[in-house]
Amino acid sequence: MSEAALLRRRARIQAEAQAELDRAEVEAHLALPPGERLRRALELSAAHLEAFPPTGDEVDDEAEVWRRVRAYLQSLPR
Amino acid sequence: MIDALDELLAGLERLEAHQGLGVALIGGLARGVWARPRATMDVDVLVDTTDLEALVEAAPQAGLTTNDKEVATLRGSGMTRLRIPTHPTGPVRLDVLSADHPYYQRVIARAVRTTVLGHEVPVACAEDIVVLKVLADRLQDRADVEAILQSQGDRIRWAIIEEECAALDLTPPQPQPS
Repeated sequence: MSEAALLRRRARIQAEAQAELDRAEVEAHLALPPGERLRRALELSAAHLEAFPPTGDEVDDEAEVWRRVRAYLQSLPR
Repeated sequence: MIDALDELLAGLERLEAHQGLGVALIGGLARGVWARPRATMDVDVLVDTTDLEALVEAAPQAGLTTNDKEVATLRGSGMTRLRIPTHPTGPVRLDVLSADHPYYQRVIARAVRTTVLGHEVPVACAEDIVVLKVLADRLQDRADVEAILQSQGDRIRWAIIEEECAALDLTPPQPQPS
């Protein structure tokens, strides 16, 4: 087997192993009760906000997005 | 910071109880219930009211507050923003969407009641988070759809997604390889 083929094979095995670990992590998360999953989501967000405090330059497009969605929904026949 | 998010959820719980309004958590936090969580800046909720002004007036009774400029800017958008007194500005906030379309009322009706940090919080089901994200259609929303569909695999109820996408004239997302 050539060196390039060996490297490709190793990369594929590593990618498969990583995907397997990711799947196991997601399954472990989904095995928790919904409230516990939400608590983990809150803790992750809180830790992120503490590690990366907002600078004030963040894009706040929520209002624009929901205005667009609202206009779309209102344009639909009821 | 978790204390601030806890306070926001307590306010949401009080709003639901005192005003007798149906609510459903949507957005990035709800994604974390149905897929691997990601960090998000705000708490997005659907509230079963078309009178957001009344909600803003009732906010202090629920221990919440508002920023007059934000409320004025958002007036007429079908959305308002509630805050906690310790965070009058910044990303810790409740972005409240008025359930002023029948689809939004179906989202609230299908929400899953959860208990988190001692608070009762209804969370929109995985299928509705997918449909809401198809509606919003930002890059992050597309990534969230992919993550939920991949994580949920065979558990996802495609009938709900297909039925709602048909009702809202949206192209349903494609199933993701597991």
